[in-house]
Amino acid sequence: MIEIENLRVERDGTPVLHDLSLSLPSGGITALIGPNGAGKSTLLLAMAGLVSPMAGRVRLDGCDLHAMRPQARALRLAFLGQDQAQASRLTVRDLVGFGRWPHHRGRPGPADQAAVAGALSLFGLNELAERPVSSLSGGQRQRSQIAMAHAQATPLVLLDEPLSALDPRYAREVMEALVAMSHDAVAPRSVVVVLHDLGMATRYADRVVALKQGHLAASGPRREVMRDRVLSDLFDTGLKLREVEGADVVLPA
Amino acid sequence: MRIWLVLFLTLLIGASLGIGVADLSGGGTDAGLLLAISRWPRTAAALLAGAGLALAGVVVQLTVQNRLVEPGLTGTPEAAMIGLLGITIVSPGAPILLKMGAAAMAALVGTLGFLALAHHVPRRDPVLLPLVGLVYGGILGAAALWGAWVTDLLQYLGAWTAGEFSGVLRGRYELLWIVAGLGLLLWCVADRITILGLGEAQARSLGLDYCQTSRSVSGSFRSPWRWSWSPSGRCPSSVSWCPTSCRAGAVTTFAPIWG
Repeated sequence: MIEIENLRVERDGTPVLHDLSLSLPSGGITALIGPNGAGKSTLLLAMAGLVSPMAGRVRLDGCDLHAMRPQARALRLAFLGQDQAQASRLTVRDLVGFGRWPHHRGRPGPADQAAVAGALSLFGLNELAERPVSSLSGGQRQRSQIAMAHAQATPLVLLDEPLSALDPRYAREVMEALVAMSHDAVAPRSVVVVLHDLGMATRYADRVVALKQGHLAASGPRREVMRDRVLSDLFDTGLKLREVEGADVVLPA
Repeated sequence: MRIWLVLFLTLLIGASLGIGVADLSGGGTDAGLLLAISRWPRTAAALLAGAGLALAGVVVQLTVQNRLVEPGLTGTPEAAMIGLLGITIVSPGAPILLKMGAAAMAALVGTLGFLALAHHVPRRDPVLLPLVGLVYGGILGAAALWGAWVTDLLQYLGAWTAGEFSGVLRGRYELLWIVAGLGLLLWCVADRITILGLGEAQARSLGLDYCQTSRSVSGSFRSPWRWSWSPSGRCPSSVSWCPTSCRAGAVTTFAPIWG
């Protein structure tokens, strides 16, 4: 369970999050939505313990995230940011293998190799496993990075716009893989994902957190947040939610 | 591919040991002595300098997360020139080890300056950082040349900065074995260096103490380069191509070891 209390974060002297308080239960997919510059990525970074707040705190299962040692934190949460560095000349298998590093610290065992194989398979990367990451397309690289986060096998997975470089087919497959991760019978994971595609949020998220100008605009189960009025106010434009062939889609009003 | 590179390297080592003014075909004590005093030190110096450059190249690229950067583009050689010039002006008769030490320390300071600059350079355009490095190195180089010109040491500086292995003899290259030791050390932390190359956020989310590792690695990568520089001169050509052409071999060093 993640508890955020009166979180205030500044980036380069500019307040980005203003006294934000939020509580997310374990399990399921939580979509972070909001207009550009709302503070979604900053909130995700704060939830990953990667930015220090000016005030407030983030607790993960009761433990203060910023007081945790890096290694202990890496065993409890995986983070995938927007700006991924070029993974030099690593192969996809190597890159995904680094997701296991917090577990083996340089001495991988059979369990680590099995986890890597599972992640490669889940994200459809078996055929690309031996190719250098630098030779992949943006979408393939994105999937490799997500597979690495999956291989880290943490109870909490934080993903910042993981669908940004994916075509519709792979975007859907990645979301379905995230759903599978979050509803795994053996080790269900909590997935918090920043999404710009409201259709994906409507279709796959269990909960939705909406941010606007650094403030919490709405938070709750998907059906409570993904409503015409809430979305229109959030994005300052007319939006409506309609059911098309059994699936909810967001349309301009 | 790698096996061919190893075979080619072996061939080059053989050629380096065999080629010279003196004829070794007769064998005997003289040939053995010549090998021990001149040919082997010359070959070992070239090998160690090359290994140092390759290691430094990969590490600097991972540290600054830019594949276009190499140690010659970080102001390191130019800073070393300033250090060498400084020690020569202050103490012209200083022993070679002291001169090497001064050059190495100046190179350290110069590279720290580049890393401080790199921290402020936007990462979006990969060409920007090498350009900043070029300008930074150019400014340091100009200062070194001006100092050498004023003190009439241009020729001396030129002799030090020209790559030259033929004059390497026993007793003048042994410091380069530090490169081998550092290479071994880097091998031991290869996975951490690779994680460093994934970017700060990713590295920290994998549980790496980013700042500490970055500082340690930055110090280590400068070392092989500095020690490579000092006894054999700057080797302008190898500085520019070695980190690139040795990539295949060096990647092996920095790839995770499974099983």
